[in-house]
Amino acid sequence: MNIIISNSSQEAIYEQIVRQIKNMIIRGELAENEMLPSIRSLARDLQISVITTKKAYEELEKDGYIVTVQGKGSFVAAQNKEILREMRLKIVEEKLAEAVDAGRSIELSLEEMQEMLKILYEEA
Amino acid sequence: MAPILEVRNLSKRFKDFSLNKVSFTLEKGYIMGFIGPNGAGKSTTIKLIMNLLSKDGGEIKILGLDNIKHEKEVKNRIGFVFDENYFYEELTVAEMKAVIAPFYKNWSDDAFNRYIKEFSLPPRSKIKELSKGMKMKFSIAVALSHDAELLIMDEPTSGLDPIIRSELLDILTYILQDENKSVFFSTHITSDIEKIADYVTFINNGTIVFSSSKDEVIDRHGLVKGPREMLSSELRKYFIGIKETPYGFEGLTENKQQVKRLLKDGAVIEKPNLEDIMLYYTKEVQHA
Amino acid sequence: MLNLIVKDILIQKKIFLFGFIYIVLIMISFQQSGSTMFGTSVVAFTYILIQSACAYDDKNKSDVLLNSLPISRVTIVSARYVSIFIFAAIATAYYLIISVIIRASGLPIQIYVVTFESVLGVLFALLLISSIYLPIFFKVGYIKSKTINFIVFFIVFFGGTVYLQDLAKKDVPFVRSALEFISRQSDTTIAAALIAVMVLMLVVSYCLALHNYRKREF
Repeated sequence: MNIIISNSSQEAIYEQIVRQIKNMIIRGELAENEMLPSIRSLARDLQISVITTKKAYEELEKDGYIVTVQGKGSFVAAQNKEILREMRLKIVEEKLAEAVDAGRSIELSLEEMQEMLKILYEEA
Repeated sequence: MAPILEVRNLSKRFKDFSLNKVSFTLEKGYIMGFIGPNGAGKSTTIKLIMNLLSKDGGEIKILGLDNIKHEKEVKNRIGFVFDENYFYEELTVAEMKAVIAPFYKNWSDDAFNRYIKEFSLPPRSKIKELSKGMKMKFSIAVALSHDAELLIMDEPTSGLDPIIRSELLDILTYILQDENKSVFFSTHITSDIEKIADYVTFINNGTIVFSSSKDEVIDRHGLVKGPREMLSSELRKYFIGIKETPYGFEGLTENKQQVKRLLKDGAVIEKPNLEDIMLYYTKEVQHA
Repeated sequence: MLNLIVKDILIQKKIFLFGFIYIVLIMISFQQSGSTMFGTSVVAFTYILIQSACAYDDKNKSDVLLNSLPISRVTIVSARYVSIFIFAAIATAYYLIISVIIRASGLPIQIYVVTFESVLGVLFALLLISSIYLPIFFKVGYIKSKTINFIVFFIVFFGGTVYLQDLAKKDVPFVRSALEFISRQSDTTIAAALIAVMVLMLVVSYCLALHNYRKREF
């Protein structure tokens, strides 16, 4: 699990953690029921305050991404598969929209874009 | 759950200095950094907590117990590390332990031996032969060997090089993995506090300036940099302190919203560090 | 509390070893003085032990350490007073051991035999000195107490001796009858009276010392 904290960013530290863990869950890097590190060991390893990690986990739990069991730890919540797929679809859509904008700005035709998509798809 | 350390309206008068209604609280399982410039009253506060000085007013509760009425019980459950070495220089590490250990109800020789091994402290060395850093580690070994629930430290890293300071911070973080332990330590090296503290209490001239979570203090303030021309008298109101140079101004504000509104895109607002905050607050007092 | 006394012994290891030589020297130089051999050596050595224990404590600023540990100030003060007796016992033991060694070796050195009266005398002298010294030590610490003690002892002993000599010259009838009264008492009564005075000194001194130390700030 990779979490990178930037001290100089305008985004509050706990928000950075929340965002990164949410993304990992959406992308499937964190599996359902997988145990997360304890708030204290996370605080120690990231060299931040345990209050911050606690706040991050509380927010993640509030938004339904994780579940905290007293005495046991925090676990990735069983995600609603439909909602997860929808979120993933949304990301694909956003990225395609970006590609369309980029193509339009150099007047690429739909056929040329489809050709590029086919090549990239087959390469991957 | 009672807070592990509770200081309320603590007062103490000396000839040319006094502590004024000092109040702060530390909950179990957290580290609180106690910062302030030299002479602000950090050591005085800690000595009052340890009952080495007698207070003129106020209340101190440790582990929910009055620090004077239950002095012996409290001291059995806390560990202390001071800036100066108060152990007997002529005795060896082992002899010093033999003197101290019987006074603690929960002393563990196993724990002590583990720590001195980990810290590389030879039991037969005399205390006076130990370097400053090793003396501090010895203090910590003693403080940790009787299951102390609260560790009180007065400038434990003064005069130590960054490597040992970093080792100490690692030790403290390791201790805090147990959520039943707490640490209260004073220092004027704010970068250490930034690395590991959960809460920060800032004292200046015998008065508490603020006491809250470290991240909240930093998020609450903004370091503003901008051109001198934009310093209207209305703008100045929102600053705790301002530094002016021929090339612009820099100031600390607690009111990022208002400042942003007035300056729009004309200035840069950054996250301050604790040292910035401490400097601006102490300068402000000087100006006032 | 006993641990505090063990601590006092540990920090003066060298003095304890040196004590043997010290007592031997006194015994040798007091050959002609007979009974004072025992008294002087034990009182002197014990007093050195008490003083240097106080000095080491002060040098290390150990009041801060001791008062940060779960030890009450009562215990700290009590340990000092108890150590008077323990150190005196150790000094007496030294004296006895040396006596045995000298006698066994057959060397032509005179040894004064320890008697109950001399032990009582030693304790009285020690308690007298300590009763004055310790409350001052607990009030102002080792360094300042040296000056004050010097002045106090000077007044008490020098002034006291002068006054007593003066009194003897004047031959006051009250004093004469008091002396006659005392000499008529049996040894047991005198011993009991001395013990009572010692206990009184001890109690008053202890209470004063405790009161002083309780108010101290570090």
